[in-house]
Amino acid sequence: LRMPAPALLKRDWQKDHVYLVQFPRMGCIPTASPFALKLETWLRLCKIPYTNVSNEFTKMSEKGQIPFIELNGRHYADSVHIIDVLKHEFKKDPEALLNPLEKAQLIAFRALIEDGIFWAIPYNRSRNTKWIAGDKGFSGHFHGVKKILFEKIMVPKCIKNMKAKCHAQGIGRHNQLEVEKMTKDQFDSLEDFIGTKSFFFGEIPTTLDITAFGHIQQFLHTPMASDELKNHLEQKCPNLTKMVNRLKDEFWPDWDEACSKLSLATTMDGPEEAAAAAAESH
Amino acid sequence: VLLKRDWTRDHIYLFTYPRCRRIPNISPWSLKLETWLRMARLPYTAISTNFCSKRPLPFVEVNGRQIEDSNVIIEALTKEFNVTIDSSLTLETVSRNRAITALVEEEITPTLMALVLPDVGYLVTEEAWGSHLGRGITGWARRKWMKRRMRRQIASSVHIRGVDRHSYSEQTDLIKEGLDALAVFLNEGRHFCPLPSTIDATVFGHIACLIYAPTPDGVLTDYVRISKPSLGRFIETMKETLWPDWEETCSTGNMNTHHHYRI
Repeated sequence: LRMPAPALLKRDWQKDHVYLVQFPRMGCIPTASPFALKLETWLRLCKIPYTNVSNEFTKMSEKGQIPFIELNGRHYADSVHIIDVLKHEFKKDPEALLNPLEKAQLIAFRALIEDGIFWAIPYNRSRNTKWIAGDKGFSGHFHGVKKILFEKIMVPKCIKNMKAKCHAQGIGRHNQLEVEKMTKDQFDSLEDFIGTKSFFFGEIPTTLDITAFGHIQQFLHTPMASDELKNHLEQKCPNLTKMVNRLKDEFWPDWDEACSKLSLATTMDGPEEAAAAAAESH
Repeated sequence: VLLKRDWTRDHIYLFTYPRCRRIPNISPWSLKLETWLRMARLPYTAISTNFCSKRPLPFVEVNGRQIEDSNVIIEALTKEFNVTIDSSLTLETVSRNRAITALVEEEITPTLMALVLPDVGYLVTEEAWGSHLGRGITGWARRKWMKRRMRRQIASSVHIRGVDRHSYSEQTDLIKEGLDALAVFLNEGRHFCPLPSTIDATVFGHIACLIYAPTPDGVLTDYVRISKPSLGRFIETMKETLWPDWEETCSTGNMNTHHHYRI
C-alpha cells in the first residue's frame, strides 16, 4: 500500500544537492534512528553535498518512514534504496572493488544488522522510555506546555507503537535475557567477521561498516533496558567497537556540538562552514 | 498445559500445519524445523493442530516441556539430545551462517510474503490447506475465516518490516539479490558447510517453499531453476535425502510417513 508522495519540503532546492529529512537532534546522540545515522554518515563518507531538514517530528516519507531525501525535485524513501540511487546519481560506490563472495557477505551481514540486531533497539527502548523526553532525548526542543504534551502524550504513543511492532515481529515474545543473549550472539558474529581488519572488508570502509556504525552507536550512546549490551560490546567486541569509534572520530568531529546545540546544521568541516550552511537553509 | 499428555520419554512431539499437496509444509519455519529433526536423526511425531493453536506454529513438546520459536527449539534440542551436526564448524562459519539465517528468515521470506499477499487465497485451495478445512457450509465458512485471518497476520508481519511498501519489481529484485548471495555461498557445493549442518535445513525450508508454493508469475521459481541451478540442485538433493516420503506424505496427508522410512 503506497501513500501518495508528499509535497517537497524544500521548494527552493539546489541542483545535485541532497536534502536529508530526519528527526531533530537529541542530547546523547545526533539521531536515535540507526537508518538516519547510517545515511548521514554515508553522505559524509562519499563527500556528497547535503543539508539536513527537520521533519518536525511529524513529516514521514511516502513509505511512512524516516529518513528520506529530496534530490533534484524528487522524493526518495527507504535508506537502502536511497543509497542505491545516490550511488547511481553521484557515481560513488564504496563497494565497487569487492569480489562476488565479499558482495554476498555484505548482503548477508547487512541483513544480520538491519533485520536482526536492529530489533533489540525498539525492544529495549520500549522498556526504558523516560530518557526520550529528558535531557538525553528531545527535551531541549520544547518549553512549557509543548514540553508536557511531548512527554505525556507523544512519547507514550510512540512507545506503545514500538511495543506493538516488537510483538508483531516476534521479538516481543521473548524476555529481556533472551533478547540480550540473541543480540550478544549477533554482536559476536560481527566481531568475528571483522577479525583484526580495520573494516569489514579490509582497509577501506564500505556501506556495511557505515550500516554497523548507525546501529552499534545506538547501543553505545543511548540508554537501553540495562548496560549488558553496551558492556558486551566494549569488553567482548573490541575490534567492532574500535571500528565504529574510528568512524565516529573521522566523520563526526561535530558529534558533541550537534548534540549539545541540538543543531542539524553542524558539519564535519568546522564552525564557519556550519554558520554558512545555517544561513543557506533559511 | 501440554497438548500431548501421554508422552514418551525422549520423543519429540512437533505441532505444526497439516500437509499440502505440493509440499509437506507450506510454512518455511515449520519445514525447516522438521527437516532439521530428520537431519539430526531425532525421533519425532508430527501432529497437526488443525489451526486451533493459540501458540504460533511450529512448537514442540518434549519431556514435559513446551518450546516455541524454531531457532530456540533447535538450540534447546541440540543441548538436550547432544546433537553434533554443527560441532565441527569454525567460528567464522558459525558467524557466516548466522548472517545467512538472518538474510533468509528476516529478508527473503518476509519479502516473499509481501509479494504473495494479494494471492493469500491460495492457502485455502485444495492444493494447500483447503482439504483440511471441511466440506459444505462449515467448510466454506472456515475457508473464509482462515483467509481473513492469514491475510491479517501476513499483512501485519510484512508491514512491520517495511517490505510491503516496496513496488513489485523492488520486492522481486530484493529476493533475487538474496538468492544470488545464497548461490555464491553454496559455491556449487552440495552443502553450505563441509558436512550437512543446520544452515542447510534453514535454507532448504525457506527456499523450497519459495519454489514449490507458486508465486503469481513463477518468476522466482524460474530464477532459481534457470539462473541459479546449483541452488536448485541443492534443494532437490535435500529433498531426496531427507524427504524420500515427500510424495507419499503430500498425497495421503499422513503426517508421519517418515516412521517407516530410513532417513
